[in-house]
Amino acid sequence: MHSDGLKLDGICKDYAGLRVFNSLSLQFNPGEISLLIGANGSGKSTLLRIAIGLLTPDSGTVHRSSAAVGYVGHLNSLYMQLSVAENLDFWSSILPEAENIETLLMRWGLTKYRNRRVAGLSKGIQTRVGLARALCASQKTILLDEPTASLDDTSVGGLITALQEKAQSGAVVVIASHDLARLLPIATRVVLLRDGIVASDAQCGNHTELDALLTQYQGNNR
Amino acid sequence: MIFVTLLRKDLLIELRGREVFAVTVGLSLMLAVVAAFGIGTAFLNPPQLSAVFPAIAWLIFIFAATVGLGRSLEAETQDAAIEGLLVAGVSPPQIYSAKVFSNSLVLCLGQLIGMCLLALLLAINLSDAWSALFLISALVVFGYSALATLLTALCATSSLRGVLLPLILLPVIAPLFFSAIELTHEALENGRLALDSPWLSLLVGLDVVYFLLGLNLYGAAIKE
Repeated sequence: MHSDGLKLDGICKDYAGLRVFNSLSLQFNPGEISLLIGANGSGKSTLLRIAIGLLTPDSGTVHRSSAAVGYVGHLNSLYMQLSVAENLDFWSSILPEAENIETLLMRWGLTKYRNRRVAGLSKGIQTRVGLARALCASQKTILLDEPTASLDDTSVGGLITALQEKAQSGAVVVIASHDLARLLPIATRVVLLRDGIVASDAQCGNHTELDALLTQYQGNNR
Repeated sequence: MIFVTLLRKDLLIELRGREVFAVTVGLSLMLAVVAAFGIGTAFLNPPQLSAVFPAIAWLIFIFAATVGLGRSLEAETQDAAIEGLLVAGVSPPQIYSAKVFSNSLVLCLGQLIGMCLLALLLAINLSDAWSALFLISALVVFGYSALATLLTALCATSSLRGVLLPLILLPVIAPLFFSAIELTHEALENGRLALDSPWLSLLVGLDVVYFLLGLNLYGAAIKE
């Protein structure tokens, strides 16, 4: 049975001979902004790739309430030979109910780069184009993997506004990141992954739970 | 329509980089010059030249196109754009179909340029068989693109992809190559396409089989 949002049930996955997930179950609900944290190699990126169907779990099921997903992984899924405007034009024409290019260029501060080839842009600007691509349409599932890694504070501000709008419109938003300083203030929930399982799962409104989770995370990272 | 959008994007990328076209035409021109020089030293008479022309022309094409197409998936993999397509709900058969048609258009143009230059260098008159040769080229190049596009994706993650693609492709493409040579030979002799030729039936059949194979296997080739 399909539920609202995004549900992973009993996910097991071995990767290169190592067990990444051992019967992991998680549900992400519409309207939530969930922050997925964990040490390097804890499986955050793998979990996102399983959730969107880019990786197949060895066992377990994934249920998504919507087929189209807004996703940015470690790469931005852009065509390096094309200009910023040509990329956004292409992606907005294959995605449902996409915003028009002028709005996207304005929103992400890309107007002056519109005719520049993506290959010639800095990593930070490429990330902004990648985020504009992933968030340009009416997808109800948004999954981002380390989206703030190469962004300055102004760009992160734009990203936060866009994510809050998406969550308010009923989208599931999941962000895998180590950037607690900039993303914790907008998160409504934090999930800590460790050794292939959910080590802790806290609502941000519950300060006791959240503090315990963060203490556990910081202890793991020492 | 997503197919048209994908096709337009593939052609625009090729127009910007000209990677497949430049490599295919460049290699075809160089090989045509070398082949014409080698044949010139053999002092063949015009009927003998006409007899060897189809095999040399198609050999040049297959060699040049295989090198050219080796990089055709790079635009999709360089920044994981192909993942973006899959996540956006674009199906692998749609991606594959657009790639086959864009590769076919580019390679067909390259093949015709290479064949014309070789004919010019060997003083072979193609004007009487022009329409037949164009049709044969279109059919052969489509079949070639259908198979090569699939195999390029299969080899994309291998560190040996530079040598793996020709090693897998050339034996499988052999029936298409034989059909191309026989039909070109018949077209040059008769000035028209022999519609009752078994080679034409084989060529059309191979086009259909290769394309259906690609439609069904491309998803497995590009995932994980």
